[in-house]
Amino acid sequence: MSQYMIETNDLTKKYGEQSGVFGASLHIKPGRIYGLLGRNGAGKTTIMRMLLGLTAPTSGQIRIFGKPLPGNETRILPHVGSLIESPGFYPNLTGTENLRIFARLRRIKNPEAIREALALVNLPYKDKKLFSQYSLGMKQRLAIALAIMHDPDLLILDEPINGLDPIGIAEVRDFIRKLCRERGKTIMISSHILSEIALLADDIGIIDHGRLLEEESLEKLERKNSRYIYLEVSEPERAGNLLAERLALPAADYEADGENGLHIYNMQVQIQDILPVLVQNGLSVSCAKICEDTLEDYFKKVTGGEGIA
Amino acid sequence: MPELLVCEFMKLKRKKLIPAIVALSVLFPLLVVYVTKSGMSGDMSAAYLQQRFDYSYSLMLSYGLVLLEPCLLGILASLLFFLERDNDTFKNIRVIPVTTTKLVLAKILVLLIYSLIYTLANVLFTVLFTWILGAGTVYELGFKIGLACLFSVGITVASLPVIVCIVYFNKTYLISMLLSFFYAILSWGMLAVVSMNLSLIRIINCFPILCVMNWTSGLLLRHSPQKNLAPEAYAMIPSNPEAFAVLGVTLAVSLFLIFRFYRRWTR
Repeated sequence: MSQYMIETNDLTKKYGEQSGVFGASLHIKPGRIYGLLGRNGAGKTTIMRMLLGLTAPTSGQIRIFGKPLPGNETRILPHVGSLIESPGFYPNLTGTENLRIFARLRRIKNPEAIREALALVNLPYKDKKLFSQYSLGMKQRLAIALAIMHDPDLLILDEPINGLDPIGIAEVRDFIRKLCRERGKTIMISSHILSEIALLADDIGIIDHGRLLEEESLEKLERKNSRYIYLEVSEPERAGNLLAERLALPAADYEADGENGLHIYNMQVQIQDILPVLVQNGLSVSCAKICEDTLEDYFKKVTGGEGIA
Repeated sequence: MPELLVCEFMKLKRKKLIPAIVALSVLFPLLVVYVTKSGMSGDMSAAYLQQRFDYSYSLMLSYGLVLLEPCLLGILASLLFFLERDNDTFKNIRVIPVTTTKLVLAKILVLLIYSLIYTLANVLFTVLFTWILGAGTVYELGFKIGLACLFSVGITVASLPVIVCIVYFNKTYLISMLLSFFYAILSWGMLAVVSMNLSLIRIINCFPILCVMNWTSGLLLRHSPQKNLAPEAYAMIPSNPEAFAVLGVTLAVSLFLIFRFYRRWTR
């Protein structure tokens, strides 16, 4: 068994001269919720389509459940549930009739599968309402029911809360969390809404203009974005080691950033305690300040100032 | 494949075209039998009454199937082949995964089944109206049903070129409908051209629909020979190898192109 549920290496999709996805290397661990965060048109859906074999990559590799996707679709895809872009169903059929078609095609043995999937998303079973008469929220719920109906090990959900009202969003969020925590499912969701990803995901991938800029656990990202002391110092590595030694700072509490930057995440330490240690050891400090970045500030920085839509 | 086939039928639930096809398969035989009845003389001999039934049967085959069925199949094909495009359901099917080849084959099998149902309904209603209106004597029903079914399979294969065009152009239902009518009329037009210029008689069977019609006519003639036909009528009948070659090539080329075009625009 591979360490990752989904692993891509240098995944690239080019649409002629147009932008697509460039060299994305994703690592999605089993039993976790992975949030792919990016602006509209950043390449989230293209990545998900490639993971499902709906779009052929221009180059790069995809491994799902430890197996390469090309050539193993019939072994891999039956264990994957997905919702890509807008919900696609037959408008002349009811929700139950629509699910019955896909249940047949998936050869689902459990006769209660449709009823259970609909109950999970709060849609009535054997309702007479046609899909064409559904509201956007109901369509989205039906698409989620379709994704989970066959009890997949891996869920790939592209903007699952699109079109849902605030109560629906909260319900879907709880439901996704429950699927992961209680039933051990691995879930990959995409969104352009930062707060949504921050509320759900364990790990986050930030994508912008087709490039995966960062892949980190939420815990680490949050630490990067909480209050911290920023120092502009000569030899930041040495400075970090000195502070660790003199102020008993654990290694996880500081991090060198570029040629002169040093972040200190432990706010128990005071700037007036730090500066003498550095100066007395011959290091020059040109800036020392307390920063208070929000997650949004951080994403703005990562995406080159454009932030999240 | 059986599951896929059942699902293709399930997708057509509440589509208004299906009752329309059923209605047509009832109304057309009624019209045909009425025409036969109107032309009847007072002759009540068994041979004459059988001949009147044959007349209704052949009218039903030549107009109901040769002219109408390619149009109906074209309309049904556009409905089936545009279902995934119009409702964005192809992604749901691909991730199951169901291959394009299997999906296309299922849709073509649905067309074949509908074609058979339409043909059988035509024969049965022709029989029923002949009996009700007293427009002849029904005989050799087994042979006639068998021949009509064979005819139906042939017309389905012969209609595949128009489905190639429908999938290739990938436009609206109206354009697909017009293409189907044009294809059916083109075949009839060729028949008219040949009747004016008999030197073209050899090429007539290159048109799949006319090939099916002439070949099944040959089967009908061999079963109940009629001496009053012109020699040109016999010259139009293709041999079995000729008919199988034309239909085989039509089937192979059409399937190849349908797979190719469908795969291209569903990607």
